[in-house]
Amino acid sequence: MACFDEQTIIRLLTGELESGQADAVLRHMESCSRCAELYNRYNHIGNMISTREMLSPPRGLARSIIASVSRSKAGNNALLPLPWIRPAAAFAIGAALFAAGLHTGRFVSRMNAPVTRQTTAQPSVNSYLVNTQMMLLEYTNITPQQYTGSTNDTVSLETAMHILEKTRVVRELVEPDDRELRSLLTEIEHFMEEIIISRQGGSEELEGRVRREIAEQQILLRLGRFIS
Amino acid sequence: MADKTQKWVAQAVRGSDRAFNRLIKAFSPMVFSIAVDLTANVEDARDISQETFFRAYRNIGSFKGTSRFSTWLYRIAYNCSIDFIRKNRGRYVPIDEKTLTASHPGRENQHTAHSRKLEKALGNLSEKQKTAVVLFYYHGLPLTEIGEILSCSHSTARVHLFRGLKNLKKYFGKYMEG
Repeated sequence: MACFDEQTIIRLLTGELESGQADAVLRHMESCSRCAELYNRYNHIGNMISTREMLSPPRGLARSIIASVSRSKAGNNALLPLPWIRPAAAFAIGAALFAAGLHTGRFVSRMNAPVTRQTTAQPSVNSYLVNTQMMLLEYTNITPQQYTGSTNDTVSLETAMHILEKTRVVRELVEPDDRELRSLLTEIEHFMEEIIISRQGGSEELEGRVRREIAEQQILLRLGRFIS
Repeated sequence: MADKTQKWVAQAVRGSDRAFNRLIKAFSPMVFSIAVDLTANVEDARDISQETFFRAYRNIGSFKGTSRFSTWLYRIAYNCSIDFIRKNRGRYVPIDEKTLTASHPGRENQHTAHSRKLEKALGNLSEKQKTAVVLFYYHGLPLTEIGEILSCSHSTARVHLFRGLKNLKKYFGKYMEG
């Protein structure tokens, strides 16, 4: 009996052959070492893939996605929903800016001082790291000696959100090769998201766990290494 | 699981955030797995997973239920991964073994030379071939579903799978001979 082509053998493995045809191929392989070897090779490859080791998802992946989607929802809700409101809002904002301009002009001329233009500066990596360290110190009550375990509510939800936004920006600024810092930033991002979720959900248990984990992972110590 | 998924999808289509969060919890590992397979980079796969669920959330209203929710979602994940790779083609460098072990302390023992070879062999396949092979063998999806994820017919999905397997055989043949 003539040998089967490779596609037929693969189709046998993928379970796509009719039972009659599958039997014929199997019978043929009993007496044909070439086809049997081909079958075994493909079977081996299939087994390797089905039992391969996959990278497990990062810790807290689902939580971080939920937090991101929640933020995007909040962003969408902040948009003005009705088209007719937009011109009205634009007019109101324009009027407010005009009034503010007049007021500032008067104020500045009275003070006879130069006007300093405010810009929204991108954070430098160092200033971001220092701010984040301070915020985490405050949040966790970690003294240089030890983690006290007591709670501290002075860190607001807004601070955590602010740090989270900055973490994303800073991650873009860090060189791709600086894997240690990038990995630390990912962890910080994760912790910020957990802080936000626990604050929003009012979950003291989760919040306690987040604090403990920040201490256990030595986030403050590791952050310190990158601060110049 | 299938019943629960259907229930959550129906609730999410009607606007339930809670149901959508449950879908995120249930499907994020698989979405991550598709992304990490294509990018070979944990950070990028994480970003792609987020983008996938953003897109799913924005478009859940258009999900008609003609295919399974998972198929619809994995298709988004695949497209997000491909978009990401195209956008970053210049800078894109898949993670190497050193980084894999560095970002996963304790992996050194698990990650054998054998599986390194397999990952390298999979890395030589085209995106479609690799996805077809992994979805078929690792995730156990049927070819019809793989076709829907890759936006092609069932028979084209089979061609990607066959070519992928042939290329793997060729690679391992060389490896065994060399």
